[in-house]
Amino acid sequence: MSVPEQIISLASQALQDEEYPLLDPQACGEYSLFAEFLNKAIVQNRQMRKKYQRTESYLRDKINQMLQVIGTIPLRPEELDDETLISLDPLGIIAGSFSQILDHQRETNEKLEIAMEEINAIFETVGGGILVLDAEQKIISYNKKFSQMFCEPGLEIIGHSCRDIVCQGSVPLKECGFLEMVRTGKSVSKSNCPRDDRSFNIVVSPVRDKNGNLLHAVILYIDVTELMQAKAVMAQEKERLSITLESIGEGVVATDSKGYITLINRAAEELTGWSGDDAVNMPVCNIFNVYQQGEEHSCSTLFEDVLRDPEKIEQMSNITLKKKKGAECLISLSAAPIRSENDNASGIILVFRDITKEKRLDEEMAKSDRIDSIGVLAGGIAHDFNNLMSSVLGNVSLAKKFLTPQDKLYGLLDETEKSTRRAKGLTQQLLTFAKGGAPIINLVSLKDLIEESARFSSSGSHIKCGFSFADDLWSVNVDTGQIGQVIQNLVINASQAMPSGGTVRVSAENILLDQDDIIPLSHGKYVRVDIKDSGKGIEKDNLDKIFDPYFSTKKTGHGLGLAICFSIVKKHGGHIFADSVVGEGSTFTLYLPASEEDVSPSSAAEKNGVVNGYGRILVMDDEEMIRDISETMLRHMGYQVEVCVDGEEAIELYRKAMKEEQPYDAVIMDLTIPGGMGGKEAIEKIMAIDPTVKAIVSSGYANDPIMASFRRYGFIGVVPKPYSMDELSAVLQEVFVSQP
Amino acid sequence: MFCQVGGILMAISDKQKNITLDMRGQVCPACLLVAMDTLNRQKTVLKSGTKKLSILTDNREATTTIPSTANNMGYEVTVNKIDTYYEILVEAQP
Repeated sequence: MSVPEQIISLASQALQDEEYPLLDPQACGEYSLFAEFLNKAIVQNRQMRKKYQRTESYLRDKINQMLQVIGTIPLRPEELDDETLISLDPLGIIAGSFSQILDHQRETNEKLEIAMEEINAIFETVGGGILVLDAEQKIISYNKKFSQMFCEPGLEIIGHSCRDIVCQGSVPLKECGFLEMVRTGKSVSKSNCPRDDRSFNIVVSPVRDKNGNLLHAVILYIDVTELMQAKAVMAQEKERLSITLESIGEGVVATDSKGYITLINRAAEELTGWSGDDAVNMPVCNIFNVYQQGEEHSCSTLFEDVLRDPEKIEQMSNITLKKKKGAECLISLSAAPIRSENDNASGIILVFRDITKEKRLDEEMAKSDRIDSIGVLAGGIAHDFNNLMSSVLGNVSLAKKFLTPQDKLYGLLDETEKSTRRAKGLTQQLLTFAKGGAPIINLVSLKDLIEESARFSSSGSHIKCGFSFADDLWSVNVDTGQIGQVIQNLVINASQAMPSGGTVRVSAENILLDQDDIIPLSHGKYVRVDIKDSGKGIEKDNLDKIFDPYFSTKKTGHGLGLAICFSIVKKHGGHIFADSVVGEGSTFTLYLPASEEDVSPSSAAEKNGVVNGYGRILVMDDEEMIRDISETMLRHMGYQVEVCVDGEEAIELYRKAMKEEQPYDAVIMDLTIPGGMGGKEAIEKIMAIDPTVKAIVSSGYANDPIMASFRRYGFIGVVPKPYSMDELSAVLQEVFVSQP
Repeated sequence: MFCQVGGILMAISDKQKNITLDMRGQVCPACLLVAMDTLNRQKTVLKSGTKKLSILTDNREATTTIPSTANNMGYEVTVNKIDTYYEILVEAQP
């Protein structure tokens, strides 16, 4: 190898290997200058290569630094060689990515700013006060509303504890919402917290960092004072409504728009038989089972009608309500829609009341009125007829005195007298029924009276009477004749209802009526008498009419019997009604007011036959016919008789007789003198002249109250017209015996 | 379209809706740089929502670094495991 070739070979090795020594110019001889030049080039080359390596290292460092900023691991030299690294342009890529990251950051910041604005707007416009606290319960922010609620104007509260500003020591620590939130780690809500004279609902919510540590707390205060007051007023209103609903007598049921019950008051529970617990949420028609006479059940149609027209208020009367257990009652009903805000019906209200008793009282009243008006007419006729009978009876009984029983005429007169007595009985019945007839009352034991009357009516008939009386049966103040007549009529009716015989059950018991009883009588003590047959019964349609005069289903009846019973019982302050099941029999029930007194054994003895007497008797009657027959009968008995037509004349005659020292031993006075002074006024005046006057009152109106309580007016005897000679004799005997 | 990374070619298929970047067999951070490069180049179509970028990789680290970087750049990212590799789907935020 030549020297130049060796020099170039060594230079090449020195260029490739930094550690390789440079050329030795002295050893190169004549090529020493060439070797020195090569050495300079080799040193320059080695310097440039170091510089390049530093630059590349710097680039890798910076790229790795940026990759770390982005969040990834550094580049590995084996992964990307220097050349590839440069060609990939990582700095360009990272710069482009940073550009996108910054763009995104800017957009995010803009969104955050808008969100912040929105939060600020919410903070200030929300209806409640907002307080932001740090973890130490110190105020770091609050809104205007909070300031209005709790702060004096101008007061700086940042940095203060909320306990100083809001609670001011009035809330125990254990009730502090913030502390409870810290303790539980959750949002805390507190209702109706008082502060001064106002009430607040409070919500405390935590704000936490990424690790869940408490940073802040946000407290919202809502002033509910007005709401609570309104609620209290509403609750009070509801309570008042509830008490009203529970205390009224009307049944009230409310439903929703689908007809399900939402409310039922106590009266409605009683009327329907359904308890509130069972009824609420039930379809109204399940419990409100109503129908009108002769129509199908109508609850659903009623409900639909009312809901269809919100203006409509249905009012109905005489509706039958079937109770839960099947019993029925009559009700009047009002059904109205409940209107919601938009005027649609959101349900209905049913208000109803039991009118069963009312209806029965109305019917009783109507019956009474009907009977009274017929009575007035019948009474007028009976009075005139009675006077005619007086004359016939008087004359016939007098005529008999002129004959002996063996005379042929005596028998005829006897028959005439009997017929006349029957006619008298009929007119008496008519009169009793007609104008009332205040009964001539005595204290009696009903047991004896009932037994006697019932046996009398049933004797000789195909029926038997069975009696059942309460041991301590109260006494009653009754007209024995009239009540006896009632019992007789009822037993006769019972006997006629059982043509093939049977037993009439007669019972009496003590009854104490209270306000709630359906019997149309005032409350108090009564004796109840039931007369029960097992006959054919009375049709329901007829049951209402049986007490009407001249109503009869019997071929032979004149329709007065039950009308008279009704009239008599009513005049006694009692009540009579009938109940019947066709095919099973009827029960007549009468209530008579009980007396506080006990019956003392009666000493009244029957007086029979005419007893002759002596003395002066003054007869006052406006009817000439009566005056004549009375005078004749009295003279026949041996009395001296004077007659007059009215009170004025009687007083005049009495005074004159006194003056002449020939006083009358007795005066018989007609109670009523049309157009003149009657017995009531005359006796007062005569008593003024002679307080010991023995006056007997006589009237065709057995019903007149004076006849019932004649003693109170100064009379000492009473004789209803028409009277026979026996009756006249008896009353005179009584007068003279009791007061000789 | 082909791209040379670290001396190795990677297939990028540009379909109707999706741009697919198949980097299976490659490791991070080279994958991240390629993904970032693609996000930069396709910024307009990706941000507008016209297209989505589907990155296929079997490097587990890339499933953290790429989503994190793409999120910071304002993209919505979902990672799906498919058989032996992952699909990182990058699209515009809603």
